[in-house]
Amino acid sequence: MTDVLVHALLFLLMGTAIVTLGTFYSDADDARARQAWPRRMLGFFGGCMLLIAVMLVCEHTFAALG
Amino acid sequence: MALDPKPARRGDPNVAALLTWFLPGAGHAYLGQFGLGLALFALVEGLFFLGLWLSGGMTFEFLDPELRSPLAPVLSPEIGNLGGLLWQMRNHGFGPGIVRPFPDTIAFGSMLAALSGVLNGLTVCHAHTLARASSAEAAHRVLLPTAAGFVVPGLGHLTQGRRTRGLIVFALLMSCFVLGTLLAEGSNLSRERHFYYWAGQFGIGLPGMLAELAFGSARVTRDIPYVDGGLVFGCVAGLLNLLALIDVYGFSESQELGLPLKSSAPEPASAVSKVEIRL
Repeated sequence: MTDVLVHALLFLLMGTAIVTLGTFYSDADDARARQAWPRRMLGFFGGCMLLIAVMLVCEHTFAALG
Repeated sequence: MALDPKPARRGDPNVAALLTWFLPGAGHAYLGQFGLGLALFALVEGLFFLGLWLSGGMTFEFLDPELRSPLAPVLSPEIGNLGGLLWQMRNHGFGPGIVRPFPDTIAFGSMLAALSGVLNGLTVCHAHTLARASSAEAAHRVLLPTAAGFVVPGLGHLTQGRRTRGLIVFALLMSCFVLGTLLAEGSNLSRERHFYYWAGQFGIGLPGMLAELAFGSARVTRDIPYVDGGLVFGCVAGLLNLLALIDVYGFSESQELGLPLKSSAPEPASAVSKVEIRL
């Protein structure tokens, strides 16, 4: 369980760095970039959660190894 | 200082950039800057051949045999100096096909050759800008902050007066790089061990090179639990710094050449279109 938490934390850090740099890269104006940041974070991590949910469903249905 | 938005071109920017990519300084010579071209040629190729000499031309022998394809070196920083890379592949390639000892100075030599690739990348950008700028000084002003961003992540933004952005870039990228190095217990600082991850990580610039010189030769004597995570963090930090460098370059370019700034926000409706809507 600790391992899963560490991986989740590392993913959170990495995702934050990528989304933040991506946000600032896409807008030269700092104020507009800061304004867009929460929406981009939500989009990225929301999308990741959705992907995790789909993969878990697949893993426990037709793609189950057992 | 914003200059004339449409200055007279000295030559075709794409031709200047392509010439420089193949032969450092050739683009500047094409644009009439022979002295600068010669100096850049000496700097980039001097660094490259010093690196090649120190590494014995064996850098690409780091690659496992199954990875040794003609396109394998493309994903290395040396690609910025295409002429040098082609010369190295023609004369040294992947070695004679037998395992042989590396020279003691190979890590440093390999780093210098990679640095020549990055420097020539900056030289390509300078040539492209010079072809469009009204003066050589304007092209220098575009490139200097970009080069500063390679010395320390975020420094380029700071020199442009974009303090918040520079501090965010510095904090995020250095945190990622340091965390990656700690997770990988320094094993990410070796090109021999992790050829392609190292290539991405090289984008972090001087901090990465200094860390490699200080800790790159540490021996790995046990299993490292989070080595994969560490490699990814280091690699992503380097790649994100390249994105930050492009941001610095784009900002300076728009300031000096009078080009519009990049924005994700929709363009405001012009007065003309408002009148049209009312009609």
